[in-house]
Amino acid sequence: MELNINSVEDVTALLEGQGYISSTDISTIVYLAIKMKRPILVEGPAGVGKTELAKSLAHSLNLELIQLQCYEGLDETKAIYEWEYAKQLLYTQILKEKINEVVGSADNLDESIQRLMNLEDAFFSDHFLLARPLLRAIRCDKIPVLLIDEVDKSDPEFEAYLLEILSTNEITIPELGTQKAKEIPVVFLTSNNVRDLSDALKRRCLNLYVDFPSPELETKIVESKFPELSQKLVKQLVNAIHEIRKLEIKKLPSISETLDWASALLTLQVDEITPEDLKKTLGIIAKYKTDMDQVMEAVDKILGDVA
Amino acid sequence: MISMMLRFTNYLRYEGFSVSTSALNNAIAALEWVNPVRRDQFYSAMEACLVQNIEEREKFARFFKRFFEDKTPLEFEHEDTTFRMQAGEFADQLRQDDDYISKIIADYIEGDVLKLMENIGDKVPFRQVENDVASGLGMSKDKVRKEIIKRINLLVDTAEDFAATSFHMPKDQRETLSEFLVDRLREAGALMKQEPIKSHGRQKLLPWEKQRTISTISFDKLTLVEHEKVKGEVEKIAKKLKDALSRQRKRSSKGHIDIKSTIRASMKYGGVPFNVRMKSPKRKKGKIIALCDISMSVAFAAQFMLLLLYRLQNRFSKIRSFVFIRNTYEISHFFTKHPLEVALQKAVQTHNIGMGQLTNYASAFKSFLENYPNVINKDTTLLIMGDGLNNHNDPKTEYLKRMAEKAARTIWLNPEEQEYWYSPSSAILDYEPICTQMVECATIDQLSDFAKNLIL
Repeated sequence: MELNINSVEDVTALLEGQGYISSTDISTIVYLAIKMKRPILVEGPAGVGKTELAKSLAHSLNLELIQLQCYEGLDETKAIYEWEYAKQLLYTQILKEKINEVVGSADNLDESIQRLMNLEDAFFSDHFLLARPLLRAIRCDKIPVLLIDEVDKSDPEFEAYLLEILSTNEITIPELGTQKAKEIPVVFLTSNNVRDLSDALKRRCLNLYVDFPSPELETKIVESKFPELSQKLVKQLVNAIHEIRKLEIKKLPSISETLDWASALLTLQVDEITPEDLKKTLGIIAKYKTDMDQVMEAVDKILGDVA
Repeated sequence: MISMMLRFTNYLRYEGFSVSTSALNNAIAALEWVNPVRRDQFYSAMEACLVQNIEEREKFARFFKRFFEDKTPLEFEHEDTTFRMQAGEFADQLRQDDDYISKIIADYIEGDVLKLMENIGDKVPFRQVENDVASGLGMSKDKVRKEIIKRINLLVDTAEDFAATSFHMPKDQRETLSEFLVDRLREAGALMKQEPIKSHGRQKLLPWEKQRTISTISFDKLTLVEHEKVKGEVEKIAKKLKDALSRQRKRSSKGHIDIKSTIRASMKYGGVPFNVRMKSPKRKKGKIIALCDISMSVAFAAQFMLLLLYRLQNRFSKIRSFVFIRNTYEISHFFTKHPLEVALQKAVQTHNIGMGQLTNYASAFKSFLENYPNVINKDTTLLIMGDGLNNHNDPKTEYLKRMAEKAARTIWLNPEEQEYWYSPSSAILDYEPICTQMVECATIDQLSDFAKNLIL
């Protein structure tokens, strides 16, 4: 099955349909990833829309989104598959008497074992296999979007599992053999650069760096999400956010904070942001006490740059 | 187009950029889907395929611009064969002059990009060429530059005449050809006129330094550009260390296996221990006390150490930072309130720290004990950063001994290379036996190793 996307502009339009205003970079790389059937490694600061990109693409194309949230200690049993031991045990208990029927007429131990071995496949079958996100993506009948979120939080060993899947679109389950992808998923890996990913993983991906957007793009994003806001207010808001990003604070406000702030200003029915408004809504854009102090110290610069 | 990609990757590799064959394959495969004429899309595609590290993006943008935009190759802009032949004809005429300057310009017009990059710009081979030309012509480098610019000015008229007399081409094409040739010549002239940016520090690596990496260069030998990069690296180390510390905390919070509880829990699975129960351990209350020498002799390393502490300070409440030259002052509270630069400035101003004075370790340790007597306890890791140059003052080891006895361990980070530790004015020989560990910390790699091994 091929996705009906024929140009970079198609991607931009699809994403825009979901309220995701993308840059040329983003659209081009998503387009290439779909055409070249390559995973995309999306890097960038928190809150710039890395995860949202995958979600928007899945929704716009009406594809199933399979998400794997990575964390430290994530292993193949949580990411790929797991045998349901408890269920197997339960079945063994229930079938205890039946087992007696199977082995009851056997003449010796060898024959009993032989008969049991013939039944072994029943226990290591799909029936007892719990498919986790990666295996689910491989087994999907329709192209899915697989989002491997915050891959940098997982352990380096986990990357080794990903390598097989990303390069060959296969998963090997020793008891069942190699499972080949029915449809090659559109894969997004996101990273906040907490640790360096291995070159082997990077090599298999198209690399996309999503930075804080330019003022023009950010204005477009705010306008598309909050058409009710006046142009003047949007301009002041975006300028203020860009000024705050120039400060040396611990947590720079990202797009999600810009949107939250816009929403707050809309709720408060603000026409023009005054220092009081900034103070009232400061908790939305600055997340630490020291950051708040620094923002308030530079309030004139932040709010004064409106043309 | 494939040959263009090969030349581009060769150029990138020549500039020290690592491009693997698979990345090149990706880039070539991507060409099937993006149109090189759409420069923004083409750029995004190339960046996605060829750049693997975020840090290299800026460099890539520069090289891409230089390769594809500063000099637009003929095959991109003008599909028309007659046009290309005519432009080639002009270049050939120039080559007949049989001198180096004309050849450079001819190649430039024809779009031999790789050769151009080797010859024009801030690359080392250019200097080489300049020297060769200079020695060949018996002129100074400046004079050669001026000669090239003069030649280009003369060639502008020649190019216009050449295009105007290319009668086998329609008038509008003749005009385009004239415009194209003049543009190219002016671009070449502009490149020749580019002066290197003057700076107090070295901006570029020297040829024999090309292979050097910032991770192994001593802090005091960094160029300005490298200095900024190292700052970025220190930020990364802080981030990784923070991560390692929270991992360590998380691991230790899991504790060890609780056999009784595990057996009890296994009863519902017929004695199979599916759920392993753990006992939570007591929480350790490790803390760091950092004393940092900020005298001139270690200023280069102190700033990176302070940056590391600053970043950690913001994440862990149990780090207290002090600076000293002759007396010791706490700067933690400045760190929590201000950005690093401001914090340091305020600390120096408020405490009237005599910058430029000579270090006296004995008086610094003494003032620490007097002013902050209860700061160190048995859970404390005491970090001292300094080169130990005590300027022939009495080391008075008893002060450091008292500090070390109170602390769980004392680690001394020395930004000097080990072979210079034991100079006559240094007190390292006296202080070393008191410390649990004395570590050389002169490069980013060493700082990173130290950070990794720092177990609270």
